Amino acid sequence: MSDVVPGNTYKILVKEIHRWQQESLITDDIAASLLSLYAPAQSGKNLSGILMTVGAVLIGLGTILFIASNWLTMSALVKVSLIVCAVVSAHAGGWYFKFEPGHRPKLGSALLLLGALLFGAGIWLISQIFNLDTNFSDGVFLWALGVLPVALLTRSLALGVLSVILSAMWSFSAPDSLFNFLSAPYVKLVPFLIGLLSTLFISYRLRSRWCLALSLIFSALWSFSNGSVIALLSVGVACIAAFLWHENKQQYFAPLYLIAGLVLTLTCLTSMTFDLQNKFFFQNIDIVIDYTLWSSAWGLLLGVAWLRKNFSGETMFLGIVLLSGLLPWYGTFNMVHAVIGNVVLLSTLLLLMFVSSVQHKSPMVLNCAVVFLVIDIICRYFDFFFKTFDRSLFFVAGGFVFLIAATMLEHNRRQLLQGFAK
Amino acid sequence: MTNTTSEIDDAAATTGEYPALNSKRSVSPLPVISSTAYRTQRKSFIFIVAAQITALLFLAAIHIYTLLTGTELILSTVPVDPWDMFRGSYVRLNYDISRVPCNKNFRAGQRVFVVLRKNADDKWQAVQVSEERPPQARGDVFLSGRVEYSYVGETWVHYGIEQYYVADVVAKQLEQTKPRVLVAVDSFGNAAIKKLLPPG
Repeated sequence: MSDVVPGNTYKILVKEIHRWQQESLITDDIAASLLSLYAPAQSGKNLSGILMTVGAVLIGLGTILFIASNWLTMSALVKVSLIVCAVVSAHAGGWYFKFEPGHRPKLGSALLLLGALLFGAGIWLISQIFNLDTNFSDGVFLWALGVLPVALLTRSLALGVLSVILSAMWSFSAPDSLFNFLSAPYVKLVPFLIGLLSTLFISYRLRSRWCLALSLIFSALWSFSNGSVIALLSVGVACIAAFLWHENKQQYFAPLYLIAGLVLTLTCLTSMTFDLQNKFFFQNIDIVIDYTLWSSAWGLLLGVAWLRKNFSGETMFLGIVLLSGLLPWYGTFNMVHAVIGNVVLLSTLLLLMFVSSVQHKSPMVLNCAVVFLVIDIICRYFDFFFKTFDRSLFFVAGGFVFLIAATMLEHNRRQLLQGFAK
Repeated sequence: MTNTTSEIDDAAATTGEYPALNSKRSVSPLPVISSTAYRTQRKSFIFIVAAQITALLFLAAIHIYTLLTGTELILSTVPVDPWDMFRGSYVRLNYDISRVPCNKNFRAGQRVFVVLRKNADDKWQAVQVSEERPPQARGDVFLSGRVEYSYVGETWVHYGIEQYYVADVVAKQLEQTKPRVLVAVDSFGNAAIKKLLPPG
């Protein structure tokens, strides 16, 4: 099995391998074996696929806009027949071009996507023809229900992405209708959990990083819009726990979980370092949503530790980070909270730097920790010196502090990265 | 070397073998499957598309049933003119019967049945709201709907006939008038708009 690398990288690889061969550094057999490990990405074919997908999306959007302009001259029967014919033709063409031997799979994928968009347009068009009171979330639910099996059967990435987007849209809007028999927090939580599970299912079945990235973005957006920083922190820790589980088992998804987990967790910890009532992060707090996600993150963390049969330092530290999520609920927000928040953030950053430089040798983790350390330094600088110094002195001193800190950080970071390369 | 999709396709064209639909995308080589498995997957695909079409037709069929079998009533309204991203211009219709007098509270979103009765002016009026389907009394019609909000003394009910899709120009004209609406109500209490009538 060959790894696909960008065209330019492949050219450099071939050139270098031939040079080593000519300089007798490697034998002809080794050169051939090395070359067989890589294959160049075919940019022209990708471009045609992208153009076809964009074409399908444009036709789908055009159809929806055409519907919006109220076509009055045709009878209801003609309109419904047109919709049915359009949906069937797009799907039939999609299947024929994608899977029948000797045809055009990328055109097939584009037509399948067009079929899915036309099916969605059909739902709203039929509502329009018959003046049906189709609720937005019910319409999206029906649309997702139609697209999801086609995506799973045909393994089409475009349909997978569309399914994830539709599931996420439904989770955000579902409280409007389907679950309105549930009481306040659960009317939001149940659709979120269903949406999250379905988006993760699609991502794993299609083995798609795009779908997984969208699922994680959806989880973060939902947590932040319906809960507080505790909900977002829980999603971040859950992502890192998922990374620990995938680290040795399924490395394909591991980096995505790690970067999402680090960014979310460190953003939340940074927000908890301020010595003021942070209205941006702590408004519209729903304690049930916050602590359902918080408990789920604990469950995932302990589950991963149990399955790996390893209650490592990483797991225990993630537990401490999760415990810091209780901080905002202990009395009013004050200087003590800010100090504890700073201690948790700094120890997390130091631990990340240690782990990335000594154990895992991961430039991504190191860079992430350095970025958040710089952000924390800037925040603390403004916190403590803005009011105490004269303005001119403040900026001059700040300039010196940043120059020195940046030089030291960059020097140490480069040394570490060079160490990784060796 | 990597097997691209087109290479697999070309191979399939010459060998008559089909790529497995459940193979991993990207760089892993696509295995081939037997024509029997391929036919099974094609049948599944046809079944899914048929289910999509059935869902679309079912949406229309429920409404057509109500229009064909329902009892006709004329309701008076106060329209406004909104716009929907997916469906274009429509007239939002507020009915007199949307506000129902009652002596109990209902939960928002709860399904309820509203009994309509003609008054002395020959207009349909909402006289009673209940959670269970009411017995059919002579001259009465019942509509099913969902509670929008409720407090003791009054409940606001949504019947699903509150929008009527029209061209932009017509929507603007209707905004200025108070059209009456001819609706059909079937034996389950579902209502469907037949047409708008001029103010009476």
